[in-house]
Amino acid sequence: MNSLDIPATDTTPRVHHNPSARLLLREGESYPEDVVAFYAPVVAWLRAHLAAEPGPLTVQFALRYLNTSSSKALLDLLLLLDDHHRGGGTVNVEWLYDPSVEVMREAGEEFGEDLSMPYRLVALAN
Amino acid sequence: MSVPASILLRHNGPFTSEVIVACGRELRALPDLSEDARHRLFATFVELAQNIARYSVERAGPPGGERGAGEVTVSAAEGRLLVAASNLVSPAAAAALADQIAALKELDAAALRVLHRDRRRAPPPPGSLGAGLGLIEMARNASAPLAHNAEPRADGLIRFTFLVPLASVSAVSKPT
Repeated sequence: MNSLDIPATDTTPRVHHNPSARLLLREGESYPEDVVAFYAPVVAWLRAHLAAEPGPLTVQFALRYLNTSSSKALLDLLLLLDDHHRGGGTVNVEWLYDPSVEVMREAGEEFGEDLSMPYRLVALAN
Repeated sequence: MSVPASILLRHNGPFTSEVIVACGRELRALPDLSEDARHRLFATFVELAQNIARYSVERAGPPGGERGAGEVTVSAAEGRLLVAASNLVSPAAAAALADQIAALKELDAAALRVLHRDRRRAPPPPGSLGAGLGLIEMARNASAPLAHNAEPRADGLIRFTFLVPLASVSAVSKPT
């Protein structure tokens, strides 16, 4: 399986898959000018990975901010993972947030409402 | 007693990604805001600035790098923040925006949350390059209903201004 490591920019997070079966979207924020151009390769990688690697996958989000277009792209990515879970795959999702920013905790809660897979909100220590 | 508003940030011109990042940094560095209020201000600025970049009829910038042009002003008065964003749009687009702002005014926080959830799951509305969610999110972040001003020009275009009021300190967090 191809590895994945997209470095963070001013407007996009680092996206990184590590050998301990974790896919991480963190170290940054998400408000690119062209959301599709950024997320399409991530979704394509994820589809290929889920098809090739039957083992469990943990996906962790720790974003400082995401704009509304990114939030739609992220929901599509989460729904893809949720389909995998419904099909018998093992997926865990963690949404890490800064507890002083209520909006990001709410965003995490609202993503969870649309999902049936294991999904956990985690307050980051300040 | 009314105190004149003090301007915290203003940009007039094309809203390139670089401009949006630089202005966003300035806004995040403002003193005397709660972390939640800082986040809502940044989020509101990014949505408005990216709207201008995508939808403004007025385009500017270097050849090949043109973006929508307009003006965003962030000001503070009496413990409140106001984000004003204006750009040129067609009369049809101005009317559609005014209708959407009027419809959002009727919704309370719970209804806005439901609308946001439904809209995020739906395909983007026709003509929207983004998710069509920006206005709803701004209404959710605002401390009072969104307002607008539509000023017709001699050339037939409309200078449309969004006005988004924001708290400078967030309300006490609700336990969940």
